Amino acid sequence: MVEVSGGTLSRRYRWRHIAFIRRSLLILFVLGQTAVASYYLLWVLPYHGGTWIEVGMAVLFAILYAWIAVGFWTAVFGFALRLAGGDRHGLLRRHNRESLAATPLAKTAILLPIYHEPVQWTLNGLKAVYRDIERTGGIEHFEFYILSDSRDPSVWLEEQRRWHELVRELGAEGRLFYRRRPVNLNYKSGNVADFLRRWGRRCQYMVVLDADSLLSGETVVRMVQLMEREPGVGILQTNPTIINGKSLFARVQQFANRFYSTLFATGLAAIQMGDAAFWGHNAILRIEPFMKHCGLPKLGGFGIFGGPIMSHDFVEAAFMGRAGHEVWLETGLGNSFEESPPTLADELSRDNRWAKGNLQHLWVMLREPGLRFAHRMAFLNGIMAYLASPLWFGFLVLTTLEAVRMTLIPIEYFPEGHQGPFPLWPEWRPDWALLLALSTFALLFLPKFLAILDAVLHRYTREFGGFLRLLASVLLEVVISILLAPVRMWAHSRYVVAALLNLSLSWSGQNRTEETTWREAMATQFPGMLVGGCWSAFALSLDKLFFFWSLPVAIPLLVAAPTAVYLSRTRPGRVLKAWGLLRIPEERGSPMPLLDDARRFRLEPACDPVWSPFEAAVLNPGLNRLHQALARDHRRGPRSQQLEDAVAHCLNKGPAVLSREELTGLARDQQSLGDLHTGAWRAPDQSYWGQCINRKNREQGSR
Amino acid sequence: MTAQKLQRVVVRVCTYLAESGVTMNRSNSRRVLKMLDEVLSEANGENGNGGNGNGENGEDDVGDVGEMQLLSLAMDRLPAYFPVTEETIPALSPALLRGSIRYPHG
Repeated sequence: MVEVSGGTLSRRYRWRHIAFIRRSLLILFVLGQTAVASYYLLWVLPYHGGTWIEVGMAVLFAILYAWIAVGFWTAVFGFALRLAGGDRHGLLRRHNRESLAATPLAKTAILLPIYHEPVQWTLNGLKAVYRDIERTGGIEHFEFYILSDSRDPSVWLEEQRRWHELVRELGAEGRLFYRRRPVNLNYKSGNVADFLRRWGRRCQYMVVLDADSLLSGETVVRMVQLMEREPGVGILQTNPTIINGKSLFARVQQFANRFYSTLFATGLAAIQMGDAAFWGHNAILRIEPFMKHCGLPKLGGFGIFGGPIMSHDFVEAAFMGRAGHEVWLETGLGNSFEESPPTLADELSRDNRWAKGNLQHLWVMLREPGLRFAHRMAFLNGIMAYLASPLWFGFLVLTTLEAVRMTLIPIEYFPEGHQGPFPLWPEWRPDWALLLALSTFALLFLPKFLAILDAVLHRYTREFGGFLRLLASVLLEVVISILLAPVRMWAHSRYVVAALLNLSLSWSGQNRTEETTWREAMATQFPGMLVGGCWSAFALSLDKLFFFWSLPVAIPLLVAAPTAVYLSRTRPGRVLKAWGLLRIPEERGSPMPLLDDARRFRLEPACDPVWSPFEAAVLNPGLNRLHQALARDHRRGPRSQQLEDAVAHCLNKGPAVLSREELTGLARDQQSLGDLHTGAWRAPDQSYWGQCINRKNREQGSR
Repeated sequence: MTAQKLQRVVVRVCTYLAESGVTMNRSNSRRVLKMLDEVLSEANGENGNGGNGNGENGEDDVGDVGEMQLLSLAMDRLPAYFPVTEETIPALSPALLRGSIRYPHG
């Protein structure tokens, strides 16, 4: 580790004062604005908060308004800081480029935890990262670990095959490793913990990637150097940019992430400073304190608040902070990439998992001792990302009840609790209501236009296709986000309720290619469409004005299925890209070597087009030898007979008659693989394996 | 043995070799034929010595069992004619250097 000067040490502690001032300002702005808006709401309501329904509405409104005000002020902070030339208290600003570049590297593990991901696509992304680090000239300081949790033998056999090919292609023997856990406990964090238990003292740092992560070699090297110069930092998080969007949905998410995150991430980093969150990937972690302080306990509560922690990253950051280590989000570290789910259905499926994981944090937030206040707020922020939906839904329900009350129930001139000789006249103030609605819309959409102003001031509109195209892209994104907001609200509300009732949770890989069919869209969106339609019809039967107020929520719900289908299509995405809309800087000109490599490598043909990975493992002589070499002898005790029976069964009828567990048993056992290979090549022409060989023979003949 | 049955054995052997990365050039083709010649002689010898003993004539009495027997003999003999180059499999994982994770409680 490099020596750290006294000046660096004093700077390290000064950030806490700066952070305190910034956070106090944020709280002041958010609470002040919320108080004013809530006061306005009380005046807008007919009884000015004189009924339980109105009190409920005011409380929910205040929570939701404060929540969106946090986002608004974060963007404003980002805008102001960029106007002032960037955050001079940022971590990267502490070191000049030369001194950082001269910092020697330390041994670092690049981890790729995977679970049923598209193998060729995922590992070729890692290949691109490897090549890019190689280009920096510092590859000898890095080790790469593919950490698989895949259970399906057709997936993990393919992973083993591709790992072996990669080692040969890259000349990475002794540098690129593969590990598959036989038992996958505790999701991704358990996978990383398994790595640490085995090789935790081999490296000083670990860079954690996701299946879709790409990090440039230069960025990885700078991260290691920054960690070397800042020994107080436990986790350093980059701000990943979404790329490779093909469907319209992915391109909208990609544009929004790339364009708005300039302000949001700058603001967020400035407020969090050394108490930032860890997002689980595209980050570097100091291994020794991580092992010492970030072991995740099993929660001791009820329902979802009991058992293993599902969403590990925020908790690990909080534990790191509790141990006195800093966690930084450094926006100056560019060239960090990830991908968006390609469809709304995929995003909602991911949100289903995340909602449960984030809600579970409530237990940690309230009960874990010694956590820093900023990290408790980060938990609250994550919880609100999903809890805001049922709160909004609740607000709409109360609004409807208020409308029912005003329309169908006789006016109460002396409601319960009202004191005084004069009746309480309900009064509507539609002009105030409109103002309030406009101020809420401003909180939501002003940051987007602030981002355009930022682009104009800092002269980077051209990177997004020029001012007019950028403006059109923002307007398009605003329209689509308005269409999606109620759909997400409805879906998230269901997820939150399901999470609180602790209903089952499936943890699966992400679809990266397929479009949504009408049938799928109707199956997933129909309940929301029904709710939207019924609510709107009911609103019309009550009051015409209330009906118009319901439309911004009801219309997106009613058109949710066509929205989901059209957003999942790649053609509109391509057309808009050709028109220069929703463009991001990474799509201009020739891409950087990392992205170019990733694109080319991922286009390489996938696995054997004739044989499934299991068939190839049995029949291909080279692959069979490879898998045998990686397998073990499992023929001990009663298992020996089971394996023999399974081999005979598989040779007779083929792998389809065996369960996944039986196939896994065969693929993990050296002798079974050898016996299958020998038997399959000697099988009659009409048998399953004979037919497999004939298919390959026909394919060879057609070449 | 019928021509179709022999053809199937030849095709199976050639498919195996192609999967093993062996190119079917003239010398390799001759090696395959030589191996099959040897295997056929052996199979005939076995039949003559009481093999399945179903036929009237040593040339045509092999039937399905004979085809499987021939295939099996050919596959057994392949490594002698086309030795497998033993490739060193890279290390799947490095030597263990265990770390210890501390848990706050629970």
